[in-house]
Amino acid sequence: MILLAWKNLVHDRGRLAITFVGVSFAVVLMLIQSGIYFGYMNGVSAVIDHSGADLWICKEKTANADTALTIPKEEVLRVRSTPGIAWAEGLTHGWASVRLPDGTNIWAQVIGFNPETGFGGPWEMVQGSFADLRKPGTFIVDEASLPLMPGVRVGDKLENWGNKMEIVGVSRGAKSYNTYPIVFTSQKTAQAQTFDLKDRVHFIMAKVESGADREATIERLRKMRHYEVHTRDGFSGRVRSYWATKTGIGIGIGVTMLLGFIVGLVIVAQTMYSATVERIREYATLKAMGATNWEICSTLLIQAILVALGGYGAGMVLALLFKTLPLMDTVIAVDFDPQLFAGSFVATLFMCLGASVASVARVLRVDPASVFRT
Amino acid sequence: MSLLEARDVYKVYRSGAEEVAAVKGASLSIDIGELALLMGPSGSGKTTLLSILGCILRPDSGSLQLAGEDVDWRESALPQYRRRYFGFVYQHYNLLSALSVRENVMIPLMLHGHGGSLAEELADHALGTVGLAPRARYAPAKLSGGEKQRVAVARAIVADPPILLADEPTGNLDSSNGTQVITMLREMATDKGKAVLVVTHDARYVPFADKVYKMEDGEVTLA
Repeated sequence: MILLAWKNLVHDRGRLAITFVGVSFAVVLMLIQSGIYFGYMNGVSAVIDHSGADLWICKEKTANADTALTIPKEEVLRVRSTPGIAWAEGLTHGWASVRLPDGTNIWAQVIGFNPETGFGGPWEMVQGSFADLRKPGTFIVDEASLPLMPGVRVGDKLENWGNKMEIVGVSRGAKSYNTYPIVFTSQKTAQAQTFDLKDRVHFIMAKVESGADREATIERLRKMRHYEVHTRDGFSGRVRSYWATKTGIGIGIGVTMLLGFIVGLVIVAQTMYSATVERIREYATLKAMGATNWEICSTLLIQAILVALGGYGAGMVLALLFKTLPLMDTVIAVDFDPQLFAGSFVATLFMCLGASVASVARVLRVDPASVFRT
Repeated sequence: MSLLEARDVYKVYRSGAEEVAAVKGASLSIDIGELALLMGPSGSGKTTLLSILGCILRPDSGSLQLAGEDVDWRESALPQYRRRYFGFVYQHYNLLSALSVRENVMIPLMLHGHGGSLAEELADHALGTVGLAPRARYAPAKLSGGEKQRVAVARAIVADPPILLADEPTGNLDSSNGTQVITMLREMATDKGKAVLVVTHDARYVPFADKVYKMEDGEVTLA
């Protein structure tokens, strides 16, 4: 029956091409959209995920980095002195108004960390070193943000609210999850050049001592009133969840993926069904020769699986090519991982098997005695 | 012993309140090595009776014995009878368009679980029997009507079923090709010991038959 499934499939190449286009289109849409979704989600929590801290402490009800209230800097010392804590560092997330070399002004997200330790700072450098940030007024811009800051290069001296802003390095991996570039600087520079940050931070990152009772340490920190203590993964999940559910991003991308799935389903169902109806007499012949319903249906299911394999392969290649387009994976973060490929393959398989349901139902109804009729 | 024996078979088609008796108490038998014709005008019930004899259609009453065994008419049992006992030849050939000639002939073998080189070898042998070995790789669409019907005969005999049922096998063929096909079926009965039933309304083929059944208004008589 595999032979028959294959031959039936390739016999009408025009129809096969349309089917593959339909499946590939659905796969590309599902992969790119979910890749953008995961790229975006990885972006919103990238600093948290790469911080090296076990715990994140912030003002209560903080849903995401952009809306965090500030914390007095003394609280960092309090956390640092808590039994079970190996180190604690403050982190700021503020805004700068940057005048670009061509004279235009843009807003930039400024992440202020301690360049002596590097916690919360860039985790991969393309040019320069975060130690260069010890010098006041210096900044590192992320590679993915360079297209958002046209003409900016290492060594440039820009202006931020009348302050000097010298670019001393380029980092990699901190993709902006909105249209504002991400720059890193020392906490001192951040506090000097952004609003309302004098002697204050937005977050406290902390590492639990090795061998210390992690839960007991967290409980001790939770005694701090008006603060929340999160594990790194917990806080990362909370920020991701905020952006996925409180904005239209999750629904928007989900709807587009669903549309891709439905379009693929309809195209495959339509082409498979019309091919089945055209060959209905042949299926009746097979039944008359003693083929069971299962054997006949299996040819359709094998065809659906072959279409899913071929369409998925083509769609995956197209999606990977799409990812290599200029600006992809820089301004728009597209993150593909093996789980995403596995998940979208399963979805494609379901789509194609689901599309074969009408054809299977039609074949099950065919009367083998119809072969004797003209 | 008859290879195929039908006794007092009835089949009624119902459409709402209307009932049409297509087969009324038909009885017939075909022995090993025998070629029987079933003749009658259009609408006499020949196709319905052929479908019942081929275990494709369940009768309302009556019995069918294959090699002395009563047919179990449960839906799940019927495909096994069709594979085991029958080779079918149709008026419209019913070859599978996407498959080559050889692959079409291989289908009954595949349904028996044989594939690969053994199935190819048997298919080529069957094609050789009907004189079409050189056409093994052709697409059915490239063949003439007579050649298609010979492929259908090869497909019917390839798994060596004891009974061949042919529905108007010469209906779409010219006289020469029709004679060639009926001669082949005759040889299958004589040389291979098959029981062959041919539905036809062409009286020219009566001389090829061992017996002739006539069917009219659902009733069968031995001529």
